[in-house]
Amino acid sequence: MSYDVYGPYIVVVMLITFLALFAWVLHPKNKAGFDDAANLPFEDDDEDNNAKADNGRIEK
Amino acid sequence: MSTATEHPTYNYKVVRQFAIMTVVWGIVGMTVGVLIAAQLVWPALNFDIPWLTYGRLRPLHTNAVIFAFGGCALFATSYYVVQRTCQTRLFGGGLAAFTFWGWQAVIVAAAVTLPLGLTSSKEYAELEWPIDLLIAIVWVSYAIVFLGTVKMRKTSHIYVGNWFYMAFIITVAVLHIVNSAAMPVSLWKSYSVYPGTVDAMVQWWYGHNAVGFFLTAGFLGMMYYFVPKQAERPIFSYRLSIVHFWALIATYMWAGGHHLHYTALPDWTQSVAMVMSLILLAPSWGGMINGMMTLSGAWHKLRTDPVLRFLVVSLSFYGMSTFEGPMMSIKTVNALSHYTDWTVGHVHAGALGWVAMISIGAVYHMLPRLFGKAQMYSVGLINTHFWLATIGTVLYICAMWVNGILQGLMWRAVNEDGTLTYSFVEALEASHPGYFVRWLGGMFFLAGMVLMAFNTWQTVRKNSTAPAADAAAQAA
Repeated sequence: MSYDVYGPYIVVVMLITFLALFAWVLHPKNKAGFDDAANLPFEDDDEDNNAKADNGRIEK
Repeated sequence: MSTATEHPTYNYKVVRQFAIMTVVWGIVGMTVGVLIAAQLVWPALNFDIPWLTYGRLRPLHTNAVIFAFGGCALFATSYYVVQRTCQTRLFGGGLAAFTFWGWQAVIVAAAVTLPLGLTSSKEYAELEWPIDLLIAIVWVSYAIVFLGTVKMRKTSHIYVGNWFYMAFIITVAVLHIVNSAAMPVSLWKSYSVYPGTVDAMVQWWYGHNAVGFFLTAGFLGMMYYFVPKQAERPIFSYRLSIVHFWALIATYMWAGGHHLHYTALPDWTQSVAMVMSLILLAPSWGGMINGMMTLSGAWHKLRTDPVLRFLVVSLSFYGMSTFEGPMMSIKTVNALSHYTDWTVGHVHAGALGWVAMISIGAVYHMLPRLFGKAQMYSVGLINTHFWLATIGTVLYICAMWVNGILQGLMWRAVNEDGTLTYSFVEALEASHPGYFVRWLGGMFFLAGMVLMAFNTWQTVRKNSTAPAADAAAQAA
């Protein structure tokens, strides 16, 4: 099969892939998992809980 | 370094090595940049020595800042981030050490061969085949170390920053190996296996994805860890970050042809590249907004935290250059901008404003933690560095905008009888003030890096007076 035949369908396949991606991302069932993942940078904490490890930031 | 404390879980040694070399190679690469910028203002500065001519030093500058400075920053941050977000020790300790020494060997080999005039002449892939082979071996080792660590993770999710790092590592391996395919004719001379126009297309498929994956995806991995970490709040939208990731990597692959507008490349290929480049604005700005909005409710931190300022201003420059890029890929705009200094300015808006500034912010974040300190030796010097870097970048890109548009307009001006209004030399003479301002901007940026080196030394040296991190918190 040549590119002339299947070429136009590439766009359609990409569109469907992206719609599926959006469906997965926006599905309410997946929200908890994403929230967990978003907090991963803060679950390694050792010295970072130390108030001094803040590069001199002064909190109000 | 003697002040370093060994972390019970993580392999910090290789991270420390790469972090220090980031600063060292940053200064080396930018010094060469400032020298060649000065050569364009005062041509006598090549001293009639072949090794110091512009044509040989320019690839040395690009290789040093992209692969030595940027590369070390990517190695350091990726090894740091992947360990901390996977909560496990780096996979393959000896192999990780090999990636450090192997990468330094590549950089030294580049620093020797390029001034000698040994080059494959492919932009951003100038190194000859023996060095290319070493790069391939080091890079595959890097992939094994990083992917191995992700596989050994103690967490259920793979954090989005690691997705970006993985895409960067895998894609750069493919790009490098395909584009560097060559027939050696002697130890230091080879010819590309691709003929003519195909070679040009392969080269810019590589070249633009070096921008898209080396200089973008890798540094976005950095952004997704260090911006939330320094702002002390999770990323604005994790969902957006997933869409951002897949949209960005699916689109970047197709944009390379915009480097070959109005060439022998088939016209439809140019148009596909232009359309894909325009689409790229969406994921690029999605990522920028995601990073910026992470600060919502915490904007006041920018007043007191120069490290966060580096990270956020880098996102502003990222947004600016990812708007400028799609605009310049439009064929009619490209007809004016291509081959002028506008392109050089665009690259540096990304390279200085985005890549360098986010790397500098990330290194300032990591250094105290890697060396058991509560903070850098001097926060005031970080602030001074921030302003030097920002002013330097703005001077640089403004000078190149003026020069680029001036050159574009002078080159295309024609008289009524169809002859050119200006000779090339007239356009070059008119560019002289812009070249001076560009050199000045480079000096500002380099001065900031020298301050960073001093601050780093004062933080990591034996008997450093930087405050030590609380010992109990360190061991935890």
